[in-house]
Amino acid sequence: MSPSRGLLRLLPVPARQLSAPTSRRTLTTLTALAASRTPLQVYISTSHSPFLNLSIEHHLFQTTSEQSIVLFLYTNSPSIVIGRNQNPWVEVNLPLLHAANAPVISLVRRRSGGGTVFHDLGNVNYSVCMPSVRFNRDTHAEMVVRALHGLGVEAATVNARHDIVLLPPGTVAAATKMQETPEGTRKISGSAFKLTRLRSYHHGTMLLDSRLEDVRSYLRSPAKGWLKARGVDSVRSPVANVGVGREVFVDAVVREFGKMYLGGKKMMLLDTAMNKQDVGLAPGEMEIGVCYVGDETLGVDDIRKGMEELESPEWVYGQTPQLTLSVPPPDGSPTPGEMPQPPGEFNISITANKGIIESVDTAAHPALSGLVGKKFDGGVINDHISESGCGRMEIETIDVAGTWIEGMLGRTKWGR
Amino acid sequence: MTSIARSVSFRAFSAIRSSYRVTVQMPRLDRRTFSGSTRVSVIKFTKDHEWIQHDPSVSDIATVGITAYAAHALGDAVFVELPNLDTEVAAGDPFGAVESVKSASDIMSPVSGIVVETNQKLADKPSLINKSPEKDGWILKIKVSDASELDGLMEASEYEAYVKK
Repeated sequence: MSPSRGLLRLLPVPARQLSAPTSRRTLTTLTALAASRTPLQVYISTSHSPFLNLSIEHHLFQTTSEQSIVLFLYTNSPSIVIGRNQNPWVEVNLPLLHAANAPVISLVRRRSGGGTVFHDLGNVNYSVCMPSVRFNRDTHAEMVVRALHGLGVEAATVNARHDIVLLPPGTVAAATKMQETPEGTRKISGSAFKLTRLRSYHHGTMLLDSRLEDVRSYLRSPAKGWLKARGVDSVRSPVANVGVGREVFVDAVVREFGKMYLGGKKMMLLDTAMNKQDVGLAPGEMEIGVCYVGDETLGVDDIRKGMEELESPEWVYGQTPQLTLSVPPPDGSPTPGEMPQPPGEFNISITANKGIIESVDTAAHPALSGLVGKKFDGGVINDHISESGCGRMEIETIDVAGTWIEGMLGRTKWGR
Repeated sequence: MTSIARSVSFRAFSAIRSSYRVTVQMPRLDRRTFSGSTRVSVIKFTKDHEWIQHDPSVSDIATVGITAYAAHALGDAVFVELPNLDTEVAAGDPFGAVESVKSASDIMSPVSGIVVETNQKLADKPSLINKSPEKDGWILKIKVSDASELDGLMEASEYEAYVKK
């Protein structure tokens, strides 16, 4: 990355609040702007790492000044992003995701709530962090809708679930927020939120030109019918791409953000920043700062540590609410017909919390009790079954059962 | 106590409370007469909208939950993330979270101590936190390491004024 990519393009800003050393300027620009009292801050990421981008977002959330309003825009390489309290074994086809020939798709657990979404290079994520006292779940979804309307996407509106949807073709949205939307409406953007006493953020995806067909099979877990899980379910919705370019969209959202908070008269400040012209720093007149951020932010300890935490299996898998895998399937569930069936005579119930096996129904297979305390993972369970043998079970059944469980749950990083 | 007594007057959730009228429901005071003396549980409130009930004359274990105001502002809870037992926390540390309407909201510990019990009913039924935030929907019990930390928290009347601001 060239040094100029990270250059802070400040619109009149008091120099004393920057105090950036002249060396390592790409790094200090983020830390300087985030630490300043600049009321409006715009960050645009040049990185496509979902772990880095979510860590930058979290860092901005935790460090920007109490009164500031911060817009952050980023695009991630192909990733499945589950909500904070979701269950990867329920949401994701882990065996397929970990297959030898699978394309590289990151599995990410974010810090905000909500359901599972897919990101790729055809998607732009927008995020607005602001004082909780002014926070509203719709404000910035509607801001993005106005940006879309400006780009000619007149069917866009915010629905009752705070998501952005496209009304059926040919429809012009009557308002930027609609409690009820007609049949044929498709979702283009999912929203999630993180709230604390002082600061809150809303972040959302925007499907511009996403290769949705590539990911469908990864979002269907073969284990789902055999699992009973606590936590948050995803709400499946028909989705669509907006069909505008990434840079066009980013530019439109930044401009709409500027219009909303700077007002029309001051838009030239933003134009100057977005046109990447450096302007002199005029003390006392700082209103908005624009900063490009990327891999150099790994030099910030908090960001690097945050990224390591997000990447760790302890967060991705170990944060999972309680779940039980049972054969036959949990009470009341229909036997999953299309899925591969377990071998006959094989009944089992394994309960895990935070990714660790807490109990095993051992009536039929006493040796399985040795799984308690181990990690809930297809590889771990299969290996244990083949190593320990399982009581009265025939050898072939044991092997088939272990293989079947691994086929449901996958052999993941968590088990290694 | 600095984490609780941060000198900032913002209130979380105020913008999403919509038309909710503030009515602070008080947890029932647990008054017991014993050997001629009256023991009264202390109930205090934090700026993060938690309540803590403690009777230092009985034990060093206090019960913590979120206020009715917070429960209403957050909306329907779909998951309550509870800490592991024996987790040691400092006052102001996040030690759990409530998820509602796609929002994750941290629960901050009102005092320093060690988590000794969590409300397993919330694991099965997160909606309890909306139905009975100040009674059956309690979140956890904590062994208080320094009871004087409670002195820095708000009385019911102060909390009521705080959320009305």
